[in-house]
Amino acid sequence: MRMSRWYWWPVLALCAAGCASGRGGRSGSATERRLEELEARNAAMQEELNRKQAELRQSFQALAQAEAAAGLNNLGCVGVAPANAQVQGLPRSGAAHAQFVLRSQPHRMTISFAPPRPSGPWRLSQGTCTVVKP
Amino acid sequence: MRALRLGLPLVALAGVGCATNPASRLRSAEKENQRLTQQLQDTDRALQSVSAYTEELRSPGKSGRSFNLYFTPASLEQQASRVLPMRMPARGFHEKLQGDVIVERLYDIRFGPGNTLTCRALLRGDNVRYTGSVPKAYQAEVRRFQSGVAAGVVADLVVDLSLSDTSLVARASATRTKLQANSSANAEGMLRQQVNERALRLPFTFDLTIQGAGAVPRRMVLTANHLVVTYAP
Repeated sequence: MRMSRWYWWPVLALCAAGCASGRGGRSGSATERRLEELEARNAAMQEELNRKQAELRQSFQALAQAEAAAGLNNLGCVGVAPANAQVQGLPRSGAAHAQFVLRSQPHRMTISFAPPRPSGPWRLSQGTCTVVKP
Repeated sequence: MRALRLGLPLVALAGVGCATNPASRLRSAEKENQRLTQQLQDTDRALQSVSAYTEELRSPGKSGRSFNLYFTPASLEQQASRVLPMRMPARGFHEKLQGDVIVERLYDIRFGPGNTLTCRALLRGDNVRYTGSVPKAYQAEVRRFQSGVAAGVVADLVVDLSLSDTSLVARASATRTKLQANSSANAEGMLRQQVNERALRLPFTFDLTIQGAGAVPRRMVLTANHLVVTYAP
């Protein structure tokens, strides 16, 4: 089947309109200058973001090693304060330490702490974490 | 049919014209700039938190009257198990689905670099039916999909964590969904897309303000072992 020639006229017109609105007609306009500046700034920001995210990724294993060296291992639901602190500072047992909404229902997360025990330069309080549903 | 054959290339070409329009490119560049600004702020804050936490591990107590709450992957799984199973309308996943989706379990939580964690969610469809019109040739495939969802779906999730004011913000996305029965790459790909576009479109926000305490959350750090939230007056 052969396509009729009329078909190509609107195609060419649309192409021309697209190209004209994109590059040709108003080159150097305020919009284009702003666009160029913004795209250059975005490229620089993306580069900075990549560098900083790489730095963050690199710190990941180093932090785990630093925790192990500080004697802080496998602390699930535990409050930790420096042993030399004047006040313990932990929330009172049973107080909500986090709140969130799930399916329009408010939920509260609470911790009940056992009495603190010293561990090197730290004071550890083992907690029992619970989630209170409405 | 002929009109469609002719019309589609015309629309596509007009679209090419619009895509190169400086005004629309400017709008998308501004949107991109907002995203980058937010991500840079989050990353800067995360780096400052890492630096302060490293310093605290070296010299406990130097940072004053602060304390930390520590959570392991296992303790987070345990807390999730107290909320689940959770029943949700299936239309939350796709507008033409009826029935319910039950989130049964959240498991295999692992902390990763860059304040991201990975985990798996086990979902199950309960009486899930597709209500859209389906050509006869595809009806068997839809029935297989429905029974596959009823048998269970495992979704692999990546969750980005950040601290915004006093809230922990968790942005989750599914990297893979796997039907436990009647596995099909096509159906699973569509399901993953719908989970991301609908069920996980908005982030989960946890307000970390402690009831009746003077201390507020100052930083959040994710290490290979712990999620650590630091509070200070």
